[in-house]
Amino acid sequence: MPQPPLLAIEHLAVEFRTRSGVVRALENVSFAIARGETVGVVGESGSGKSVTAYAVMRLLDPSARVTSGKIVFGGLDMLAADEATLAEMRGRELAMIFQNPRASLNPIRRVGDQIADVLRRHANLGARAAADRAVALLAEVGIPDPSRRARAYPFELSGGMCQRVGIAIALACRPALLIADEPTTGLDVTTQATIMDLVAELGAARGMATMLITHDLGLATERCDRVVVMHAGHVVEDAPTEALFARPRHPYTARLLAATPRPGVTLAGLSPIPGGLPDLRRDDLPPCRFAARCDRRRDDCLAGPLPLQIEGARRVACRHPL
Amino acid sequence: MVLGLVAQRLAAALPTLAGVVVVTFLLTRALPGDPAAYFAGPAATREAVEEIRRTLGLDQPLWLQFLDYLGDLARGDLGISITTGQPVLADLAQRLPASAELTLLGLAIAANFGVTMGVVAALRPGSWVDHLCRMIATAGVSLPTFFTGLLFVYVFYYVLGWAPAPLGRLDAFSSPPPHVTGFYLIDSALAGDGETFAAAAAQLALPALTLGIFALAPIARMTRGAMLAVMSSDFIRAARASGLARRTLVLRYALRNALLPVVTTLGMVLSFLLGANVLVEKVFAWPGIGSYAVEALIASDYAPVQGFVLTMGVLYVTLNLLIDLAYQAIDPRVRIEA
Amino acid sequence: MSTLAHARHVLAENPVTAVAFCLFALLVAAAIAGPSLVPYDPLASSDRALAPPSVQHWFGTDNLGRDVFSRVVVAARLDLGMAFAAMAIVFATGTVAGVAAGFLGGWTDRVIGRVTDTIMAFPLFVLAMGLVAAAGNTVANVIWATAIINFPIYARVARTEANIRREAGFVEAARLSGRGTLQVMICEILPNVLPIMMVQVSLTMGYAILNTAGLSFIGLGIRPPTAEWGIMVAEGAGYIVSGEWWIAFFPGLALMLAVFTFNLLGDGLRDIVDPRRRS
Repeated sequence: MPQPPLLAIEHLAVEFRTRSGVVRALENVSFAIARGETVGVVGESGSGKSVTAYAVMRLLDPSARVTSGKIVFGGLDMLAADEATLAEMRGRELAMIFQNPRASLNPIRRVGDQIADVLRRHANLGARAAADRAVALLAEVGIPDPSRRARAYPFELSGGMCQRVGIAIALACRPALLIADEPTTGLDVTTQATIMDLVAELGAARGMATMLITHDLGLATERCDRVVVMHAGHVVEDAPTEALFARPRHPYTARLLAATPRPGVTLAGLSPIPGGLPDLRRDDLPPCRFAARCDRRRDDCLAGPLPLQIEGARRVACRHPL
Repeated sequence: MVLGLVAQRLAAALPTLAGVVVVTFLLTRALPGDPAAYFAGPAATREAVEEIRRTLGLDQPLWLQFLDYLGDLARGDLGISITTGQPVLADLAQRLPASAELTLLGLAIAANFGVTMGVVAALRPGSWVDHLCRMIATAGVSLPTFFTGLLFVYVFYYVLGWAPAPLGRLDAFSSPPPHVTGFYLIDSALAGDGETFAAAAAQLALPALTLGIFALAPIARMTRGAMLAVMSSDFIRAARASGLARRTLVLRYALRNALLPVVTTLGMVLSFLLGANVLVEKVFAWPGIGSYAVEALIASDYAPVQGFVLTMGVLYVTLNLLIDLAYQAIDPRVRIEA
Repeated sequence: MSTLAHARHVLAENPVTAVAFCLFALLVAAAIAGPSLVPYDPLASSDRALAPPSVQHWFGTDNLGRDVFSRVVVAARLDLGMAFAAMAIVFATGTVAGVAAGFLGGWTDRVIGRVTDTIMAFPLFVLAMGLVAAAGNTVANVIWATAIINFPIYARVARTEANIRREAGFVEAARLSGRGTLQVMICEILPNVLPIMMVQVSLTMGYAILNTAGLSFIGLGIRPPTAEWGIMVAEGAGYIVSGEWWIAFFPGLALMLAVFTFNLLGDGLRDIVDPRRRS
């Protein structure tokens, strides 16, 4: 009997109120993550991937509003929970690592102390015990000479090391879900690989689920069990990685694949996706937000709500999938 | 290594100190008019003026005069005040604690309330505290200190009768506590004299409040701005994602970072405060070095004025140095990268 | 968008700035036309001394029976005039010095830097006191002292602006077309720096007014019986403890209003000239 998913996002819609209008950042976003599963959330910048992540953590800007939908994490209704409950969950059951690792650390506090802060908050350790455990965690994430490095400040560490510290903080209390928001985008290629290896290894050892947010479809297909493709605030395709890679069903996924660098294909062999994201402030947004850029568009694509085609483990939001 | 940094900063302050000394020297010797007549005073006769010229060496070339000046400074000779008949240095030393007590108390009020107000305003945008903070920040810069002081005297002394008459550090019935620091609050506390403490505090209330409100505006504005900026930064969001308690987040993570730019503005705040001190001392008949200089100025007694400007310059440079060092102590990035 | 249209747009968006402009106009009107419009001769004493505000004397009378309202309005000319004169001096000298320092660098920069640092080594008001005491207790010297203590900030702003523009394309073009350094400085850099300096004038005008009033409050510069806000507050100070509040209150209020107006004006001008720096 299948277990209930660890994280279930159902029909989530998020709006931002800005000076120039209301931005419909997310609409009808649904997907789930099972325990121990690694799911990639892929899309161009502006597709709503980070917004989804922040919505799950309930860390959206004050100008954001969740207009409908449900987020259930470990049985808890995240949207209905109060701040105290959420603060208990964050860092302990679900954690996050960020795109700019150094900027995500307190610049004037030693990294060991920052890890210890989280341990004292959630694991109820005393100062001494927390400090020792922080050093142990630094060793676990592969930082050499951890007892000395624990006394370092973020500006003394490289980007890769800062991200390792971030991982140490996130994993300190063994969360069930790690949300990684573009964790390697700001790092050089070699470091990217080692960081991703570290996350995979630690995750596997703890049975931790991971939501990997990235614009790099290649990275997602390499590291994830399943990939969720987002476009302009919609989920357009949600399939196991191999199936998605072998046979994309949504036109956007196909174009993303065609635009992704891979061995054996020269730069000239890549084809960009025409057009750009639609302006999400318009109130006349069509049900399919990709239609304007799609070369398979038919007349009935813009008529009526978008159907969700379910084929086994795959879901596609397209009236005329490939 | 820390000592090295301190020494480095001290060395950097030396040219500024030198500038202060040179400027105060030039102020009296290199200006239009006859310096001897200045120092002799308006009531001096021709012979007295010539006498002064000889005694002070004002007939010598300028660079020799400067060397003499440096020698005098080294000996602590700042001249004699015509009005009090005392050496200027003695007068200044005797009156300095009064000014120091007042200014420090004013600064303490401004720092405490300003930072608190700025933090609360930043944490609750749009609330009444936020509006109050912004109002005070704008109004505080526009209000002349002497006007605020007089308003306070009118409202709190004349109308409400809560404050005592603005007649100086103590009322007519109290006498100063035994001298230890010259700070009446400290000295009376040390002597266990509750009555004098209360009397001194009552007299201090209005002038310190006047100074405090003046300095509060820039501090509150800076704190609010800095807190707003810090609270929307990446690392605060990351800290929230770790579920840290609100208290830890605001105080240990946000405020410490926000205080850095506030500390850098303290230098400017002090400049205004030391200037406003002079005005407040005049309004409240406070026997400090500010009113000393003002009285001497009106009486055309110039040695005290020169001594006052020199003292304030040296004091200000020293205080800026301390602020600089404090900043280095708080911000590890400056400390380690230096 | 032309500057005027942009200015109108900012004013429409920002009613506070519009109010500031109106107040500014009022102050200037008082300064220019005040003396001819006031009901009483500001220097004429009468036997109705220490009279509280009434219909005949809107702001009451002072200890010599002079009408406070007339004195406050007439004083606008002097207070604004002194501050304006000081600002004009420092605008000219500070801009030139700052641009020279920022554009030429080297020794010029170091010398001017040393000068500004030395001025800033003192609490500014104290330095002004010392300057006036040394140079002589006259109105002209108060103006010079105010100009000197404001010099550092102007020089600094001008220097930064000149520095930014030093490597700009149009400067390179001018240089390549054979124009001398001085010419480039005067014809290219200076006109570009002027708008920002104008904003700075407005922002510090308030401070200059407070400074001159503060100096006259302690007895420097203006002497009685001249009507000037600072000295009027000083004259009224002694009567506060006996309850005759109006003598010091109205000139103080006028001071506050004037400073407030210029601060708001400065903020508004800054938004017009450089919307990026909006607070």
